[in-house]
Amino acid sequence: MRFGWNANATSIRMLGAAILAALLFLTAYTFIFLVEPFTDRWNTILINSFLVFASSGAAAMATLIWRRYDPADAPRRIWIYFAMGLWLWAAAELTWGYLNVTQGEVPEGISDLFWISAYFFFGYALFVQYQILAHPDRRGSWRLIVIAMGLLLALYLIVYSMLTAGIGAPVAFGTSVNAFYPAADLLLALLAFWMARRFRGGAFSRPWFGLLAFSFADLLYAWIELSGLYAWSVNQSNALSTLTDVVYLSAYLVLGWCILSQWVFMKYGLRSPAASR
Amino acid sequence: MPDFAEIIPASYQNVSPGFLETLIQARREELFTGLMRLTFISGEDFLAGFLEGTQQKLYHCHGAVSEVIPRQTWRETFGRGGASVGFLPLPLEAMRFVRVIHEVPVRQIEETTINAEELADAVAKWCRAQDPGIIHIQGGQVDRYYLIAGTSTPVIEELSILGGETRFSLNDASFPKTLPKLEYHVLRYLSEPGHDLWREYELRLAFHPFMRMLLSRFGELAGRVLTERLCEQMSTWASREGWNVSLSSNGIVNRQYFDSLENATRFYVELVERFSGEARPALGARMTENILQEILMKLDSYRRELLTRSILPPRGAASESGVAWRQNL
Repeated sequence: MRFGWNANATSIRMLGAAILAALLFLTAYTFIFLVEPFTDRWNTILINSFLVFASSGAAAMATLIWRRYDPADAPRRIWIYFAMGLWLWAAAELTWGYLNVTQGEVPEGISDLFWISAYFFFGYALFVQYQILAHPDRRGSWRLIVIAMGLLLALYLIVYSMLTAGIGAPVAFGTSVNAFYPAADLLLALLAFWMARRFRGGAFSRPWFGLLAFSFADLLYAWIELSGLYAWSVNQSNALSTLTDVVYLSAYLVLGWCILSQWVFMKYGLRSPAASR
Repeated sequence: MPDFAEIIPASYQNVSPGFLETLIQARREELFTGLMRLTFISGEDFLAGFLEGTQQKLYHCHGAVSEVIPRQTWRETFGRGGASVGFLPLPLEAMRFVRVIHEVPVRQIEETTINAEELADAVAKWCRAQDPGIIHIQGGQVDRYYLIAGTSTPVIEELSILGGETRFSLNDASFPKTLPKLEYHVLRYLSEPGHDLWREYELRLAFHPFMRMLLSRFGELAGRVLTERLCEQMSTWASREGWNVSLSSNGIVNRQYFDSLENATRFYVELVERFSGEARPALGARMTENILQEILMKLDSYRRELLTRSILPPRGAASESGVAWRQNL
């Protein structure tokens, strides 16, 4: 090992350094929102770049975990789908950022296609994890899929009716798309919470906790955007919009850190303190 | 009780106490594992067991009865001159086998002459029985001993003797099918199930599939690399503690000669604790406890009860240090 640290010290230092880097990253992001140091266009480019960087980082970490597993390992299947979902989110952030910089307000479209399809991959990753944990038979697996789909539909209808009847969003394509995120997030959060509880205290619970954090940020974002309070450019930002964006980036950072911690555990964990390889 | 001394040829005649000491010293130096037979002019037979050069046991064999000689009086036996001496190298597994043969109590001896088909039926019945026993089968070239623990224990240890050579192997209840179709003289030494040696024997046989399934489940959850690392950590610990046990993702290789049931139990308890301690950072306390219980449930009720009673913590205690429940053992 470089620097002559043992495995345990390296793990702790790496995770500590990651927290420090994330805090600096978040501070710089908030600083741009609060101080608006550059022109509106450049501030918007930077803000979006932060999101693209954070989402790509999380996706890259997930890919590294996938690579650490042996091809015959069952968890490898989880991580390929998890990484694919995150790469789709990174692609969504990139297209959304590009559209935001070039045209300001971003209508529902190609970036939503990336975001929504990512949920399929996260859902499948969770399903594979469930299969490994619970060993359900074919009937049990189908029952779970049907229950999850039913729950998703029920949540979707509730959110949709709340948006149209509750806060007066128009019955339109945009509302239909935006109603999907809170519903899918809630479902994912429930499943991730169950998963995290099963792994309570273990390094393997962290990525699911990360997903849980993301669900919260996504819900907040969906609510602000649909209530019309979301500011589409940095220089027009308000406190609530800034908070939403900071929470949203924080969720990526939390998710990234959680994934990193599993990678660090896989690389250095379960070694004796004296091991220095 | 089968007299094992009979199968060891005498290589040295009329040995003086000094020369006997030299022979023993030579075995120590070559880290000999096996048996030494001492036969005195009076006709008394003694059998000494060596494990990597260290003398473990001394038995006084009186035909069907064996008596364990306390260590303090060994000098008296070795100080007598005029013995004929023979040695039989054996693998460690066979030494454990020999120990069972010579130390478990025998409450009844059944003697029959049956053919291979009848033997297959009898073995199937003995495997299901509650009482453990030692079986000695002779016929044609066949001269074999079997340990049948009963209570449907699937593994049957076998020690075969052919041309003065012994071979240890693991078998199952179908072994009579592999024997030539002959008439066999069968001696069954019925023993007491509660004896410490049988309990240690059963514990070892039950712990083997338990550990294999446990590591396989851990591997399923955490992957091959972490499983190998976990096994490496546990093997290092076992070696550091002086236990002749190693672990791999395929399970446990137990080459330890436990001198008492307490020592064996202590080792298994500590190994499970060590597994929990190593697995917990990866899987979490709850999942670690769950997989321990889950694997336990996969065992048949007898072995589940045996391991629960002897080794495993009650549900809820696996996440603790394990000290509290161990104190009640």
